[in-house]
Amino acid sequence: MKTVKDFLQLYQDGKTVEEVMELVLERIGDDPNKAFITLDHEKVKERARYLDKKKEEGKKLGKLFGVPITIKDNIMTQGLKTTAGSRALENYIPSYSASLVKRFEEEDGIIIGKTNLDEFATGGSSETSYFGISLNPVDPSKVPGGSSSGAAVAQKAGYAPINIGTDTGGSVRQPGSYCSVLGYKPSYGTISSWGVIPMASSLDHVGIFADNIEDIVETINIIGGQDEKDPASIRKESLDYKLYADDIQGLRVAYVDIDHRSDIDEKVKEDYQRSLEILKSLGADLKKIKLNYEDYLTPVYKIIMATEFSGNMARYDGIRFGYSSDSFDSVEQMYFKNRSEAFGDEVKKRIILGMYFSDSNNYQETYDKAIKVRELIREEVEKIFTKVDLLVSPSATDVPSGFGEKRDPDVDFKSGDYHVLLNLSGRPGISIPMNQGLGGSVQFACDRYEDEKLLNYANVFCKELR
Amino acid sequence: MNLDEMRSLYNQAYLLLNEEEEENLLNYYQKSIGGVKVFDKLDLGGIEPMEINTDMSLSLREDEVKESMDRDQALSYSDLREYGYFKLDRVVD
Repeated sequence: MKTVKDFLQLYQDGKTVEEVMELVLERIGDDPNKAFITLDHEKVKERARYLDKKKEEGKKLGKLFGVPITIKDNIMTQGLKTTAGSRALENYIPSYSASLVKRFEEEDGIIIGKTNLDEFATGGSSETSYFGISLNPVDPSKVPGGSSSGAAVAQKAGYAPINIGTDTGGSVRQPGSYCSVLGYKPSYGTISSWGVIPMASSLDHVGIFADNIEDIVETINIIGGQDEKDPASIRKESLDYKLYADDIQGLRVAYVDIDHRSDIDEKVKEDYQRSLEILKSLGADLKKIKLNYEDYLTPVYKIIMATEFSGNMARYDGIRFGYSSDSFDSVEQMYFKNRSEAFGDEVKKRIILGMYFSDSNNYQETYDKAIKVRELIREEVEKIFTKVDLLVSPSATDVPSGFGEKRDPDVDFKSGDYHVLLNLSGRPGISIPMNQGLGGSVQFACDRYEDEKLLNYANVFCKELR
Repeated sequence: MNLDEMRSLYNQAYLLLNEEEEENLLNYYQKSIGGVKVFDKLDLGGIEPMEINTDMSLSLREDEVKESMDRDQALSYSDLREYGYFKLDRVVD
């Protein structure tokens, strides 16, 4: 029971959804990898019984009938706690579901649980989650990456064939790389962000983990497409991506020059080189390129992300919803205590940085310059794709560290350079593991809205890898 | 960033700042901010800033009266209820 097809086959063979969900819940057990913040067995069984009844009554069944799905816990699910990995929303139960969750439910999917994440998506390891760490199934002494930690863990542990995360600066692709699973970030606006707790709105993307490209295609065709509730949504009403490519003979590929990067892990370099050899053996036409603005990716990302984040965090005051302190002597103290007690250290640091960058005394030297450099980066990426079909780079430039290892935060940001390149420019990217164990992953990227092509190229490559 | 500035930002953000943490935090922020000096190498004259990757559009729904959420359902999402209302902390001094 690994893929969407596996599950649909079980139902065709006569199994009930309730029976299959028993097996799924049994497999998860007491969740030793700590993928979940919320796993409500009763709700899963209730949904299973509803679907079984629907089938018995001869009603038309959805494309994901009885397929289990996990949702990162910064995505709203009506009636099911949504915490953002934070004390601030520890007991928050949304009164509505995100558009993507509704689309899953319309196709009869089953949301089996809400997965762990770094608090409000600020982190790359799960270590900032108020609910504790998730364990990397490849090596439980290593971090699984983040912020979509639990989703990547659930994918690798085989809890569900589809696991949904979010990616602002690599938060699907980096844990995908660390846990050796496929992690896909579509073009900006392809999947609606309505009902997704925003981190940095111009950089936020919903992303998909899966075992194979077919499941990613199945998923994006269901949850992708226009959503009127999301002003940044793609204009295309619905998606109908297909896997049509059998080869990539003659594909024009640009691969990023990493010779100057002494900070990239040797294993990542080896696996990157291997991926290029495979592409060559498949008949691709490879050309090495240098990214002119590579040194600016981390500072640009940091400034824009922190500035937007601090604005998005202003709503959490504990008045209308969320954590509120037990004791205070004044309204002002109430605000201070509500926020200070609700947020972890990393969240607070990013709020302060964002406020610094957007302050009228600093704005021109920081945020204003960052968004101009962002335009230069976007122009460069656009120019690259006038000459090539595919851009290849390492995914994360490091391998997962152990828990609690003190790392320079700038080093952490820098390891996601090639990820943020695509968040800043809105281009789609997919992280493809080169090993089943710890090691490097390669990132494929295409031009904006060329996701179908991207997934086709990735599919041909993945088949060769197997 | 200097100490006064840091204290002011924490105040504006409604975040408490412990005196014991101040030195470490200030070092952290100064290091983080130091990295932005790299922009000085670039000539950004005439460059249009890019804030978002899309032509945003806000769609307005039809001006029709629709049913709101059922009151009991809305209240069921919170434990803090009294007399058929959400119970909030007193926010008026």
